[in-house]
Amino acid sequence: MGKIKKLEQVKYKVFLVLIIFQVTISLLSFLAIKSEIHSQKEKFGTVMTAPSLADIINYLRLFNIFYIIIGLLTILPGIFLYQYFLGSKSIYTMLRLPGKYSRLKFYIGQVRFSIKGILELWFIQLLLLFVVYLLYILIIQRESIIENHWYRFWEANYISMIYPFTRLWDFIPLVFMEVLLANISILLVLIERSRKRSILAVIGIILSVAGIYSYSTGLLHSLWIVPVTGILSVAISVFYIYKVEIV
Amino acid sequence: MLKCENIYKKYGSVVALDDVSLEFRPGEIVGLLGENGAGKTTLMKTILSYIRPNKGRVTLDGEKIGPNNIDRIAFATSEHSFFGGLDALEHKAFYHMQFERFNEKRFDSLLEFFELPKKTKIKNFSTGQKNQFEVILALSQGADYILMDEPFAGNDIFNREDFYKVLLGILDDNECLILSTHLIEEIKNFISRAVLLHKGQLIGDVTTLELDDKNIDLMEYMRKQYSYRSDRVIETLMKNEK
Repeated sequence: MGKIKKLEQVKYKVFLVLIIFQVTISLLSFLAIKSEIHSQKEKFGTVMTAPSLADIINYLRLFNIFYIIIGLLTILPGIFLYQYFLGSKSIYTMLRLPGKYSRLKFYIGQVRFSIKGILELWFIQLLLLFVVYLLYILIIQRESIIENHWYRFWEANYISMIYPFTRLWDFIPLVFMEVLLANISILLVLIERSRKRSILAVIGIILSVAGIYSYSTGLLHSLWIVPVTGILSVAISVFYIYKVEIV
Repeated sequence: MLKCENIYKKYGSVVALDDVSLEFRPGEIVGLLGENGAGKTTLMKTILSYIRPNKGRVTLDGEKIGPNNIDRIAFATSEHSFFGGLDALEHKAFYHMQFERFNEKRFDSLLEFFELPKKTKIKNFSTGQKNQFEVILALSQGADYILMDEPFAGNDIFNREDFYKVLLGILDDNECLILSTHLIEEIKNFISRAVLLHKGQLIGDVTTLELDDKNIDLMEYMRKQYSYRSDRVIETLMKNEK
């Protein structure tokens, strides 16, 4: 799992660079706004209203970058699974590892990387929001900040962009959504590895896509559609890893 | 003891192994011999549980091969089972972590013997170097039974000869080496037992001591077991006489 550890280190470096980048951009934007407000006041003697925090964040495109990273995090486990577990004939080594759960540990390692990354991402996004909010409050003159700025920010629904759920149990399909996405990349690898026996993996992919589609489009309003398809999709992967002759 | 009992494996209509029963004991160096498609690779993969036989079973000291005892068997194959994206030192760390009895001393000394680079990704090695590295991993795993399937396809003769000599010196008394190869002349003085497969059937199983007692050469024994017809060359040449 050395590569996964290296990837984790790279991931944290990327997170750090993004945080520094976002905070710097926010800081510079707020300083520019402050200076503009100041010059306006000197010229015309009137106090200009600063743009709302929601507008600024929208301008900074804070979230798009993170969603790209989420996408990358979802694909990467499959690539590493291929390199370590199934890539070329290294499967011969992997099948000889001692212990009943050694192969399962590798599989979990790949999926966990993706899920952990996404959870960390949520946390960082929330942290960034508070940092940016704090900078906004500290830098922009009180009189230029619009009334009820916090409420307006809440209304802009930015928190729900990071945490797209209103009730605690909405969290369940979201986590399984990440499991499904990570598992799709692994199932694609399994198809490549064992073309002759790929029907089951194809069924797994169809199930996963159907689960994601029906949930995201609201076709089926069940809370359990994603968890159920997620469990089935993972079960197919595990079955492949343990039972299907892939040599 | 590694025991194969009545192994039968069929691929479609082709019988790859037909009721093969064999026993391998610690300390033996076994040459698994046979023409292409004789069933040598299928037998090895069946022993390793990579392939499930249609009939028969493989046991190691009375126990079915599974996650609890699979690490007692090592495998080197000309198909290569290493991780191409890792270098030698990364492999060492991986094997150290996964295999309790990994023989670090043997790994280091063999790496030195073959003069293989330590920090180059294995995928960038030459074919000969890849074969050598594959064999190093199998020998260093700490297994009791080491299976090698055509491990030196692509290596030069000097390299192979030197390696046989080193191999004889480094193998412990409790280690069993099962070597599948076409290079019979090269290994005939090195193996202690020859197992002959032909079209999936076991057609010969003899120790070199038995051959010495009967004063028969391994090649002669093989010709007899294969019902080799030396006259077919003359026959064909005569038919094509100008």
